[in-house]
Amino acid sequence: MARKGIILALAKGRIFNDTLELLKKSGISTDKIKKKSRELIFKLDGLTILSCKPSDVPKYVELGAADCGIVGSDCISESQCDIYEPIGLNFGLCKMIVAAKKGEKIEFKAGKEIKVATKYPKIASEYFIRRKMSPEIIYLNGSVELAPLIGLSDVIVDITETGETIRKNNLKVIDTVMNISAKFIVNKTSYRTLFKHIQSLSSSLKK
Amino acid sequence: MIKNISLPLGIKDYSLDTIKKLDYVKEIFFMEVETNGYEKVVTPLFENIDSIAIGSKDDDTKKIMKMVDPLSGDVLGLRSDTTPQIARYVASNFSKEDLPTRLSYSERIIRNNLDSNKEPREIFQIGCESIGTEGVVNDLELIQLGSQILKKLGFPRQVVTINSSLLVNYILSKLEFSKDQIKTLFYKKDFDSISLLSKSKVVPKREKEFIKKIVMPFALNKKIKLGSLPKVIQKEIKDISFLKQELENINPEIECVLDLLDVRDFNYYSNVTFDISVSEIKDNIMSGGRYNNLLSNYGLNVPAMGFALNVLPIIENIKFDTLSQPLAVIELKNNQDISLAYKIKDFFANQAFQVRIVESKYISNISYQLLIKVDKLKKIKLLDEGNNLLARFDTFEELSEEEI
Repeated sequence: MARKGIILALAKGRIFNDTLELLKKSGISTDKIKKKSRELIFKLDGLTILSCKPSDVPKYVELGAADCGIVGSDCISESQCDIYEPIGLNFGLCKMIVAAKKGEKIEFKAGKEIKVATKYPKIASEYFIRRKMSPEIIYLNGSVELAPLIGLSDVIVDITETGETIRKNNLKVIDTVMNISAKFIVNKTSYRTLFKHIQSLSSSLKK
Repeated sequence: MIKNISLPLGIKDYSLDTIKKLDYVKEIFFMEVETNGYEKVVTPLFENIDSIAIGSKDDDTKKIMKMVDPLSGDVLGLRSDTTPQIARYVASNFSKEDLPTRLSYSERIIRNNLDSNKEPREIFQIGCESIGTEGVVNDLELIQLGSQILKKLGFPRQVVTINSSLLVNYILSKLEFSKDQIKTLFYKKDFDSISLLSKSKVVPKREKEFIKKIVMPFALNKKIKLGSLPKVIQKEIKDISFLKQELENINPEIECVLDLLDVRDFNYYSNVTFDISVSEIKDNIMSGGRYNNLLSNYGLNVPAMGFALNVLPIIENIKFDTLSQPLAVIELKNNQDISLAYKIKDFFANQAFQVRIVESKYISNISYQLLIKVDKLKKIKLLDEGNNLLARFDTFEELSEEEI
């Protein structure tokens, strides 16, 4: 089935290489993307590929700038975008965790105020509010692990693959917020108007 | 000090161009529904909150803009959806013997979305409701009417998606432990996670079996043994298949898709629901469905079905030439004979022009098709948009003799 007209947004960064590998396995040549990696739009095999910042992918798909996308479930949950998530993909596997400084006793009890450093303010806020705590969210854009070490926050909410960075920075994991994997996401209207093409693309990704 | 006056989040003004398109959409809509026997009603801007909230999801009642009535102390809500208002109107003013009735409306509604950066809070809702009718033939009639209106608005290549709230509600009623999770997963079409639930150790065995045998085949569009379902569900699925087939027979250019596990935004839908999309707009442009139980909340137990246009995306994409009447501009200079300018204005207005009298200093700000200049001797020159001379007249009387 020809996929003419489908615009697919891909998340650069952590899952980008695995995504290209998956597309290749699905029979889509991705050579152009590797060679011209500084470009942002690529035309291949009846698909238009947009190379996007991961956190922007759900927004591109929700607003219809792309018909579908491949992005980590952390970015999907944080974006709270109104999109379909029909397929979970078996890569980009990691966990979103709560971590604190080793030896620090963190009480999880209702009404307790807690300072949380994170790149994921919405997910972190929801996690603590569900536990009836009062989180003060400190939004950081990188090196989140630093925050508890210098007294900026009590805990961090961040993603980890192996826990190595957490351990190396003298932190310990207290709880898992969610398991994360890459997902194939679809714009709600494109799901209808390009139904057969999107079904064809998603089944080739699933193989 | 001058205050910087801004509008609330999600609220905006609409310009002449948008309003012209809106009026055009309304004109086409009402012309079409009137010929199909629909009568227009106007509903109140606000009502008691209990009346407004019937038929809304719990979360949606939070989105209703509320205020206290200074006369009675009651809590009032601004209109957030016209369908419950029409249900209340019919239940209060009609008896079963007066039905069926077909009503149409064009209203502005307010939905107090929490993320108002994303969506407008003020929405134009144009739609119609067929009350006291039921059965697949009536469903077909209403969907066909909606499709016709969109064709007349310039959207012939439609995708009609048909869903079943009856089936979704039946499935959810059979689940207890995983009900909320499944509903969220239906909403996201995350069928992979639903499949995982059917293998999960924490889900009770009975629910796992139900997910495996009933939910997953529907989710994956596989053949289902209808015999394992209640008769009312079997009938609904057969009716929906018939509906799809007939819609495609009547409209060969339309693509019809069945998406039986779609979760709707309003909980008053009871049976068949539908959306219409077109590839050029990344939003549904029409949606509706059957709500056979809503009127009983207001005291009249009769079936009903309706639909509404998603107006803003339609008017953003409509192919409608707002300058279908060419604009003629009369340049007004200092000391010019203003009464002559108005005479010329009337003359060109009668020739189906839009005409504006504009002072010389503002001429460069305007795009026109015809520029009319009058000199001190009251001679009249007509120029085109590139300032090329088209015609010259020595007197106004001479102009009136010419055919423009």
